[in-house]
Parts: sequence; C-alpha cells; structure tokens
Amino acid sequence: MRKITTAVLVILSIFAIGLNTPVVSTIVEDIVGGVTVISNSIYATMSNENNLTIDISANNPNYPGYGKGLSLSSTYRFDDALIFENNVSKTGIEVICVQIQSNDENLKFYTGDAMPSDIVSITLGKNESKSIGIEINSTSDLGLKEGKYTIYIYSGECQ
Amino acid sequence: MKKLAGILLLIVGLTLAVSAGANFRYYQADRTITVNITSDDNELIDLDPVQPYAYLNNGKLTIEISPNNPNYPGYGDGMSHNTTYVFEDMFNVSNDLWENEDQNFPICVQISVPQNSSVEIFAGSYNDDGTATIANPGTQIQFTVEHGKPVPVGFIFDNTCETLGSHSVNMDIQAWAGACK
Repeated sequence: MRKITTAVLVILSIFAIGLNTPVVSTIVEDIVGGVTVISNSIYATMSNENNLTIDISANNPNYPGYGKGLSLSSTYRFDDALIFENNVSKTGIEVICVQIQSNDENLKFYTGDAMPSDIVSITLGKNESKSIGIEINSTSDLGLKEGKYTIYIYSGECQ
Repeated sequence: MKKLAGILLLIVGLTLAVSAGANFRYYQADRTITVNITSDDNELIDLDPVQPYAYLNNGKLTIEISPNNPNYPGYGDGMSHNTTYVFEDMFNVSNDLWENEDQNFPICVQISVPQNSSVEIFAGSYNDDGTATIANPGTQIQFTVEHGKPVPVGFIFDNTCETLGSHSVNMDIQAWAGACK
C-alpha cells in the first residue's frame, strides 16, 4: 500500500517539473508550395488563416507580459527569423530558388551580414535549409501596423 | 457534336493547367508581419524617464531642461552659463525582449551623443572622481542590460563654453544581442 502511494507522489512531482519548464515552445511551421518555412523565433505564431506570421504585439499568444512592441521611428533586426527548407519529398525538385519580396517600405530582409533589401533570393539544394533575417523600420505613428511580403518559389537556381 | 468538342477542349485545357502546376515551375504566397508601434517606455528595449527632466514627447524619450517641459514646476528655467550639472538616473534602459522568456538573453546597448556638444552620458551612479559605476562618462558609452535589471543613464551638462539660449542635441541608441565584449 505504501509503495503505491510513493508511485503516485513521483508522478505528481514529474508533472510539477514539467510545468516549471518554459511554457513557450516556439517552433512554427508552414508549407509554402512544398517548401517548409520554419521559425524558432518567439515572435512567430500561426495566423487565423493558419499561416506562419510574425506578430510583435500583445495579441501574440507568446506575449510574455512585457515589451508591447517597437517604438516610433526605430529599426529592429531579427536574425534568422525565417528558415526555408527544400523538402524534396514535398517539392519534388532538387534545386529551387526561393525569393522573398517585401510589399511594405518598412520591411526588409537579409541573409548573414548582408545589407537588408526589399528582395532576397536563396538557392536551396536537396533538403537544404537557409535562414533569413527581418528588418523592421517602425513608423512615426502609434498603433498596430501590418506589412505583407510575398514568397516566390521557382525551380532551378536563382538567377 | 460541336458542343461536345467544346467540352473536350475544356478538359484538355484543364489537364494542361493541372500538369503545369504539378511540374512546379512557379509558386507564390503572401504572408504578413504585424507590429505594434508603441511609446519608448513600452517597447522591447525600453527607455523609461526617471527624472522629471525626462519625459515622453508623443511617445519619444525627450530630456528637456526648460519651461517647455510638461513637468516644469514654474521655477528653475534652466541651467546657467559657466556651470556643470550632473544628473544621475535621467532614464532607465530595460531589456524587455521576449527571448528572455525561455533563456537568458542579455543585450549590449550603446548610447551616443555628438562630440563637442557639451553633453556627456554615463551609466550607473556618478563617483566623486569623475567615473561612474557601470560606464564612465563620455560621448559614447556601452553597457550590458539583462532582463529585469534596468540600467540607469545619467547626464553631464558642461555649460562652460555655451552661450545663452536654447541648445539641443540628438541622442542615438543602438543595441545588439549578447553582452558587451
């Protein structure tokens, strides 16, 4: 009888440890034309349309209760915010070109230490993955802003 | 008969379209990024006014020692000619990046003011020997900010060579992931 009690106690304590580990596990995955788009960023989440989105506002389920956004007229760069992978079993093509194009003047992309620009192109081989960073230039008026970007996928190397 | 041919053509057309898609020449999708633009004291790397000389002017941190400051009490219109003022804890810099939620994510903050502007900045408390506890006075200082441990920034105004009237300088703040090297 005593043994059973001990067993129950152990289970309970494991549960408590589990609760103590960070609540936020943020790996968001999206499939765009067979290409896997992943983000480990805490600012990434799934949108209502079930697409990967970056949301730096208190509406993001990962919002920790501090840091409500970006301040006026500031520039923020988030390294490796989006990771693109050519999952050949889904794309069916060994070499592809992924092009990320900003549709918003306050939104730019970059790879490595390169200067951010409106368009970034990455060539992905078989099951290869590469990451890109996001630069956000905040506007000079307060409130929620939404910027759009387009992901283009072509077969073959980037031109 | 003519009608049937028309339908057949349509089916061929559809098949062509589907196979072109399956050949994967081109794909496109739109995604969004949403950002809340907020005041300096609420952002990811936030700047909180501490002294009444510092305030938020339409969301932007401003340090103003003149009757134009909304905190101006009606006395002490400014600083006099040929004096040096040291203000500790003018504003605090906090690290409110969400990355701190599941890891220790310090940042290195650099604050600059123009050279020869008669303004110097420092971090921490000011010592009698002219040094400061976190970063010594200068026109460009660097210090590490951990989450939950705001760093106070102080100002030195050396008005020795300044003429009467109003003077303004811009302050530039930059931050990088990781502690300062």
